[in-house]
Amino acid sequence: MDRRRFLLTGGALLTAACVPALAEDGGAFQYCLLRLGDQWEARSRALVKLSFEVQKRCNIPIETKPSIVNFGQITKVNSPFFVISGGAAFKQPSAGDARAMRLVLNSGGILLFDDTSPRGDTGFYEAALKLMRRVYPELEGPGVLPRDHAVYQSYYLLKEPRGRLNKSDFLEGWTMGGRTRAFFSHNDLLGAMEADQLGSWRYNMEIGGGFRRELCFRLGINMTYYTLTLNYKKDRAFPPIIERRRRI
Amino acid sequence: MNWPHLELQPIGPIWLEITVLLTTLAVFGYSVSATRFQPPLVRVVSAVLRFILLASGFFLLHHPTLTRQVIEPQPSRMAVLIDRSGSMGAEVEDGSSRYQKAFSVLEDLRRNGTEFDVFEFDQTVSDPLGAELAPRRLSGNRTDFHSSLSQFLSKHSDYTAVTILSDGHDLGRFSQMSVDDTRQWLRRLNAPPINTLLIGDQLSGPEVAIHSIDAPAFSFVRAPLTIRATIIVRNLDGFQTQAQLLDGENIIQIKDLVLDDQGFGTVEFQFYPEQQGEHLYTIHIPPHHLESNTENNRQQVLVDIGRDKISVLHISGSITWDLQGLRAMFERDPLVDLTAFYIMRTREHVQIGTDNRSIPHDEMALVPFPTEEIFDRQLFGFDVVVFQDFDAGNYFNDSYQARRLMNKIKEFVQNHHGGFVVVGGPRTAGGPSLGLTPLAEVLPLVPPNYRTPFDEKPHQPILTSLGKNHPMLRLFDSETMSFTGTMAGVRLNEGAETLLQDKGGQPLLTVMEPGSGRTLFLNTSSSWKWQRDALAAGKTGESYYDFWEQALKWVIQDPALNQVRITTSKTAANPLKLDVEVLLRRRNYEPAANTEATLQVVPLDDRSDPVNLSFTTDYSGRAEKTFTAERPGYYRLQFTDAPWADLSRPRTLFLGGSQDELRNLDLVPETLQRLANYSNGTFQSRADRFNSKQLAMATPEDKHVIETHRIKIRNWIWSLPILLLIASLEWAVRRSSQLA
Repeated sequence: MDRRRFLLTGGALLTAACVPALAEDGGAFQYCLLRLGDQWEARSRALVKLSFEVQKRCNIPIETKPSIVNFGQITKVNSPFFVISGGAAFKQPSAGDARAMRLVLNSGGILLFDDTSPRGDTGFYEAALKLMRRVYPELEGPGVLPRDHAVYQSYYLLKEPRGRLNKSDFLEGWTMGGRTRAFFSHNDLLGAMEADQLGSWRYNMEIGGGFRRELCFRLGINMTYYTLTLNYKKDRAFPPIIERRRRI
Repeated sequence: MNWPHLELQPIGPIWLEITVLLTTLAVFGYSVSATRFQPPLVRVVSAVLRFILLASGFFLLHHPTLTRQVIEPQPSRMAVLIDRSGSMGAEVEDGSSRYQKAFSVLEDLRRNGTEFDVFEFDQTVSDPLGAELAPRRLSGNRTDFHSSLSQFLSKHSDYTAVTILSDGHDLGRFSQMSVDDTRQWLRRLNAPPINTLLIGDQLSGPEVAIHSIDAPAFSFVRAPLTIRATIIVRNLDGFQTQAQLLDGENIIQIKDLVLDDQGFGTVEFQFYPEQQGEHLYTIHIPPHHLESNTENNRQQVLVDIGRDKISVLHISGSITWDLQGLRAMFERDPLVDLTAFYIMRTREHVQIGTDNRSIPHDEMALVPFPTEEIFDRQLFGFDVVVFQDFDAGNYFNDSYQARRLMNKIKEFVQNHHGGFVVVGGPRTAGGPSLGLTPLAEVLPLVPPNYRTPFDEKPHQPILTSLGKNHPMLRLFDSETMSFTGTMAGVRLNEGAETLLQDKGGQPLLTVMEPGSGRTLFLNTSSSWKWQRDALAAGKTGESYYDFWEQALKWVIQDPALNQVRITTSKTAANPLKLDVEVLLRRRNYEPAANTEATLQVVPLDDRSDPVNLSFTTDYSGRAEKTFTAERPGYYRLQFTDAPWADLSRPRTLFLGGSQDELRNLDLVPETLQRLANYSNGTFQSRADRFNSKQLAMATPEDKHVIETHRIKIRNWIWSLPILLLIASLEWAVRRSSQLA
């Protein structure tokens, strides 16, 4: 093997090792960040941090790095927990891609919209609504998730959704057949988790500090558990226990 | 023709009657006193005429009606009603049935020269039997005296007497009617004298009998089923015994019998049936050595055990997409009643996962894994236990508890028709191995060592000969149903069979039938991808759900998935006729086309020999036969030849109109006595001492009203002129005395 061939082969192998393997077939859970809009990667480290916390705290076999894919590749993803992060309107995917998203969500996948925009800016929200109308034309629109929704009690008991911002005290969701297929967080959830390589938080919290960040991680973990166990905490054994604990 | 008679109706309530009468008398008194200055003759004549006028008015207020009837003497004619209900099939001393005995009584009647027509009744009444009087086949319908007599008497009003030959069993309204209701009912029907004759052997001496059984006709698998029996003991002071409940030939429960002062005792059995299908439960009281009749020490009741829901215990050792797939399937299946327990954090997560932060208990939605509660106290209430990538050995307190509870699961499968599904995954492979526990006996695939290598490479599944026709894999698609991540080095258990394997022969999907239960081992935790891959390939994606739905049905032994299926149907019009449809499939579910087989119909009362129904199946393994029973009763359908006997479960069913007729065969003379007493008939309790002359004497020489004329006097055309004439006369009398 000559030097040029060695460098080409070596480079290709190195690239393959660095790029998250889309066709990776292990059963481990992995977050998947969608390349959509201009600010899709502004919170990319947050999912690494969240994965690390999940690995530490939960009995979920997980890949510590999220996969990053284009909208057109979603059917190839083995762990269909999709995150769309941004603060402005994004270009709508094609009709075929919307159909693919519907297929993936119907077969167990989930989609999280995380709005990083400041108060009063609804571009991202409008774009999310438009996208979901194309994915599920039969659905009316997002509904405010009730306080007893399984996402607030799938692992931690949460009273309301937190985030870096404090724009709203509710999550919205697209629910069909007893399962919420997509969540919309108004409060820049990933912004609260975003940290640099050394672990320093990148953004300050609008209100509060450390514990509020912890509540954001708890919400992220709850969303993960909800995705994988669905309405498990609504089974008949749990509501009385959870109710009792919430009253304490 | 006879003289007319007068009918009057009251004006209204008694107070109105008295008020009108007093008013009339007051008017009359005033009219008499008003003529006190007149000559006596005029006064008397006027008073009489005024009295006639007032009395006529008072009389006309009572709607006077003259009724005249044209009556024709009627010859004596008797109807004989023979009870043809199910209980009349019971045997009497000479070996014939009560029904046959009733027909022998007709000979006595005929010898006496009484004219009679014969009818049969149960809940309805037949047409007259005609000249050929012979017992027919009993349909086994229920007796309803109220309904049948109402129907008969409203249709046939020309009989001067009715004679009923019956055992007195009534399952209709008559038994619950009060004395007043009975009298009114008979009066309304204008019933002639009803003579009754009790048919059957009345026993004397020591007697233990099951008086009645109270059981539902339908119940559910693993739901509490209660059967109550009332037992009567006569002439056996201080008798103590036990009542047994049997399912087929197996004793399920034994209860002590406690009797009250009247000799009645009630026993209540409560248990949890484990198998779907018709179950013939028998209540048996061991006979006393002084008893002459032991037939009534045993009674049977057929309960159809259905399935409301499939009760699933789903335990998962880790939270993965595969768990989500299976849970989503359980959540969407309305037949599944799910109890789930997922290990959401392990001891390691508790120790290191919280960064030494102490998260208060009430901020989490977790509960400790209730090992004892699930595996000990509630286990037998489930139909299926699913271990999904579950390393069970890590969740017991000690090895003793582990062994005891694993033994319990084994017992659940082997002896209690339990289903057990294991989905292998990395945690199962990580050990401790289920193959080293008592469960190894019931697992189709056994991981032989503490830890098993986990092979993450994809495997292409291949159907085995058994898997090709297996209902679980009816939508199998090798393109989309791949196996990624399998436990390597696992051993096929003795008696287990492989449905799917890879190219190298490694088992991927295996099943086993240990004892009375069924088990399944799916050697991958990637089945959740089958749906998504199918959707991505442009297919419906139903293969994933269908696989699991069929797998659940198979492990709970749903009769629809048995290799041999016997389907029966009967009609209310002919309840003794049974249409049988048989589906024969070989052990590997391949239809047994053009195959000769014999289905045996066994009467469970042992009063006749089994009947063999031979048939040849068509290309799809199906065949149809018809069977007509000789008499009402319980019958068992079974195959006796191999391999069909091994592949099928005998079916028990009731042929006849009503099971209730067979639950109590004791004579009930009180019914017949009451009927005779309130209709002025006679009651006779002994068919062997039947006195037909007594009946003939009781038959009245009645007369038949053929015409009735009614004249309402108030509407009579001459009523008003007569009253006017009297009034004119009274006026003329007064005028003649210069008073008017």
